[in-house]
Amino acid sequence: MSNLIEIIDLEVCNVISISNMIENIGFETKVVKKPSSLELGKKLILPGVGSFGPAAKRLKDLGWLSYLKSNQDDFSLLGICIGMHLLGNGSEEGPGEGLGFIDATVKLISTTLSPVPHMGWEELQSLKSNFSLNQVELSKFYFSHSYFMECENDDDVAATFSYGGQIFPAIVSKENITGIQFHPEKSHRHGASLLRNFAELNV
Amino acid sequence: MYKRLTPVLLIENGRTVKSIKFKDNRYLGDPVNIVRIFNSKEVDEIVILDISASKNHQGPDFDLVKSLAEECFIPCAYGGGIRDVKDATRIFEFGYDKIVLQNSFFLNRNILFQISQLRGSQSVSLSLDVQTGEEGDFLLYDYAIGGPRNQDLSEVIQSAVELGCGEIIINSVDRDGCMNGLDLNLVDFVSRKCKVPFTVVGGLGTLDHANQAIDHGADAVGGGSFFVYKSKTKGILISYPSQSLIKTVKS
Repeated sequence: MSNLIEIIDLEVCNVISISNMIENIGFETKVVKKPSSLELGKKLILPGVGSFGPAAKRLKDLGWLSYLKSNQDDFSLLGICIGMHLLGNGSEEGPGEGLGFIDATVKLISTTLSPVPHMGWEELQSLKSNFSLNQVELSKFYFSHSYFMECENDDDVAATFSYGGQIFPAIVSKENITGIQFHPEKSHRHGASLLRNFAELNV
Repeated sequence: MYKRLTPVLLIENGRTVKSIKFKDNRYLGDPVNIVRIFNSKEVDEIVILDISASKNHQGPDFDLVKSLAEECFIPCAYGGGIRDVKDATRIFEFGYDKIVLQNSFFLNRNILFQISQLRGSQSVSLSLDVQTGEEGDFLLYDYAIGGPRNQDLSEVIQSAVELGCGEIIINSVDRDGCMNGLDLNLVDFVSRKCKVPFTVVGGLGTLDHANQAIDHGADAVGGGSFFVYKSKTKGILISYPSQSLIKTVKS
């Protein structure tokens, strides 16, 4: 049971793809809608597809913002896509407060060289060691987004990708908090390896 | 950035089929099984289109659409019979990344705007079927009635992008199932008009064809026959180029 992964459902996106993939690689998941429903509260995934504003509103209204901020040392948290963006301070995409775990602002990708939204597979460049990339091929991960996380501290960026002639954070991490811009649940075996690393973390 | 090579799977009354010029549909096999094989081959993404739903004035076959999503650990898109935001929401809940619109967009363009507002522009694609006219011009085709739409392709693309469309899927009716190469004039045309990524479909027969379309500005290349037939003799064999080959499609 210590490997139970609890997936936070902000009801703004589907969490089924993530739980499907984690269960497919042999780990147990539970979808939780509010903090009081947490069973262990040790390994949390904050997924997200869609838009920052509604997600930030749900984060606050469902009590997650205050719960996560006040229990920060008790869990490992993996934010995916909008879930990654919610780890920062705020976003150009919409109103609302982020968790502030990573000192960053979410901004619109601005490039004339390539189309936005950015949809497709990218290779990663690893900048610092992070559990999520342990023994993971960096070759191909699936991205689908228009906004990116601009970090104040370079140390918080664990891996990058390049698009439209620019370099963007692919993975941010700080202590027990990790955010990933791409979709591991849609990145077949590469994504499966990454999620397995999270599932096997000792917390 | 890798360019995407995308199998496009056609469903007709619950069966997977492959057409030639949007006709002569041939039965390929059980859709769940075929999607499972594509997933195991680690395809870049898969587009599933139910070509009979709108034609039969029906909504999506939700049970089937759901069971197909359960086989996908790759990006997947679904189109066919989506009538409103409620239908789209159910599809997203199954785990699809993108909704593909065509008929409902022409009935009420606002549906695209609504879905885009709800899920972001990356979650909604517009599929357009195009025929080449006598003067080499490109004419929108209505697959449900089998005739022209009498609307201007450029205007439709521009309007869709303004409403929040994240991707255009452009299908060449004349090349469909012919495996004789993508219509590069069409790729050039759309490339000039379209500010969001676009996928070109129709005529893919070799990896060189895909690379040509990429060189002409396509962001992704879709195909049917190329992925389901063993050779021009058309024995059914699901295949997908190996990783090393796909790198040749890298931009």
